[in-house]
Amino acid sequence: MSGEEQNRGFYKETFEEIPVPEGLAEKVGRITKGTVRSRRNVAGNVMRKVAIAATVLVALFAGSNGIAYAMTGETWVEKIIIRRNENGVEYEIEAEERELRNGETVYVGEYTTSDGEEHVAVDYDGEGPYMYVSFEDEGAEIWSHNGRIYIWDGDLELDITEDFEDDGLARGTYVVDGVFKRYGLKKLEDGGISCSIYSPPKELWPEELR
Amino acid sequence: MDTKEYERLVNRYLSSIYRVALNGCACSTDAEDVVQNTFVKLWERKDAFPDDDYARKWLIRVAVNECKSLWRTAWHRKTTYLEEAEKEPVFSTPEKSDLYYAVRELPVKYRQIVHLYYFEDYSVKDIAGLMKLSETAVQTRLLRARQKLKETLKEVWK
Repeated sequence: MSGEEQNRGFYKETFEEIPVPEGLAEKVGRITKGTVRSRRNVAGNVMRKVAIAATVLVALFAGSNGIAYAMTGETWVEKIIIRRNENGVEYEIEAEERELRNGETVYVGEYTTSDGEEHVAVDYDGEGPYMYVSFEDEGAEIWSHNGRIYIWDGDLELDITEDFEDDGLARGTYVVDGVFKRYGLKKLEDGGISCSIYSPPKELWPEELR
Repeated sequence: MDTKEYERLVNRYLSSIYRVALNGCACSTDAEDVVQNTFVKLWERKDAFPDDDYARKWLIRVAVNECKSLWRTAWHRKTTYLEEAEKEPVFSTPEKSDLYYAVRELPVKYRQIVHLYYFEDYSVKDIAGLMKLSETAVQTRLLRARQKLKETLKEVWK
């Protein structure tokens, strides 16, 4: 038996031991009676309302900090911009800081692409041994593994561990699939990494790539 | 879809779709949501499937997309909460437990491909079709995932 066949057998044996949770079959069976509503659909509705409120507050914030504070009753720690490049179009997303139940901080902002599709961008989501940044499945990611820090973008794997200066900042550029990208990363006190990776407008690319 | 056919497909594919969902979400509560949303879409589907293999692929694709959709929501979190801890699967050997957690530590886009390849026995070409990726991208991700698993699991992963 080849190594790959052994791996496949081992993988199957392992995942076959995972039981379907009690009650799930019953819930799925009740779908035909129209009595099942998933937790996420409910949360999604709440999320949409919160996102709309956040958009309004960002606009207010630009005009007057006082109004924003008064309306939310919360403190705005920092206004940041998430840059999201999608199909060659760059979106600047004003984002707000949110603390998740587990204490992690993410930056959240909503934007609408030219085809009218709405997205919620989340900048930085720390997890276990990995620092992971990805707006969508095809986006660039930051990995921290065995003490090294990498950008993974498409087929490119870039070790940027040595790019970090004493102040915890790393900045640089790379090219993937003919697209010029800039990155800026900052090590946070809690061990996380905040990150921005984006492709600037073409007029700012190196001449040989335009 | 009529109730009888729906129930037949639930009985046949529920566990498979749950594993795909768990693999994509790394959280059993989210996985249950993904499974429910997937089967809601099955129930709402008007056209019959030409055969069960098509139905299986359709369900997996819907589940994968539901996982992606989950990742786009701001409230998604990849950590395990206290209530989740009780739901962690228990394995018969430490090696299996190690494999499960090593897979879970891979980014979602690698995890899903690994699962479809090793558990569902899909070819690189099939996975490319299911995930709407190029075959090269699937091969690259499989290669990286294997490397990461080998780094973590050492001799347990060949």
